[in-house]
Amino acid sequence: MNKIFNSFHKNKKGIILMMLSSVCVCFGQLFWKLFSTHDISFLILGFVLYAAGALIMLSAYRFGSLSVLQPMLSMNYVLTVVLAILVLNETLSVGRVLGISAVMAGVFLIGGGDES
Amino acid sequence: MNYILLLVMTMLGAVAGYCLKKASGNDNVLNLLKSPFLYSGGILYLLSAVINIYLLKIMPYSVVLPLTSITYVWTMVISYFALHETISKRKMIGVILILIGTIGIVI
Repeated sequence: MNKIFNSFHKNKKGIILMMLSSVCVCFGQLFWKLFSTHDISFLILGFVLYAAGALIMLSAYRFGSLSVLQPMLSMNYVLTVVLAILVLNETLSVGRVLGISAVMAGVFLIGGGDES
Repeated sequence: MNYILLLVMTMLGAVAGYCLKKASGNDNVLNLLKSPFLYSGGILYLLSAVINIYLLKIMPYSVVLPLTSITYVWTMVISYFALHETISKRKMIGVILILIGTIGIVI
């Protein structure tokens, strides 16, 4: 348990940045989705958010180890489901939620570094 | 047809990432700006983004974003062939999970 706390503390800045990046990327895609029913400012905002998210993610890697930070990419998928349901009123079938969960687990496994 | 576009989009994204990683090998800004990898990476990302925006127009948000995880599969393939990185058992399981999940999302 202590090990987890230590790892969290060491990578704290990177973890927070990754979360911020996740929010930016997901909202960026959200604005792109909304662009089809709104004006071009949504398209631009989407680009800005997406770019910001990518840049923040790159800087996050300086504050934490790859093996801790990259699996956090799977957070994108949690946020996606939340935003889809809350903001877009999309209905997600059981199959889709299970599929997203599997993808989440897969990204989590791929993301970790190769430190053995 | 849409799914072919999706595959193209994720492939472009993965190759773009590879180009940008090669470009980031430059230490000083001048060399970076002269690197063809920077521009090809940028263009590929833009192309990928355009397809992304189009797909978001015709497919649900909760479908498109998770499917972009296929990009990580391509990235792994690229790193295997181009950089000769080894693929651990854990990563193989990860890829399989992503592929299974993709099917679940699409059906």
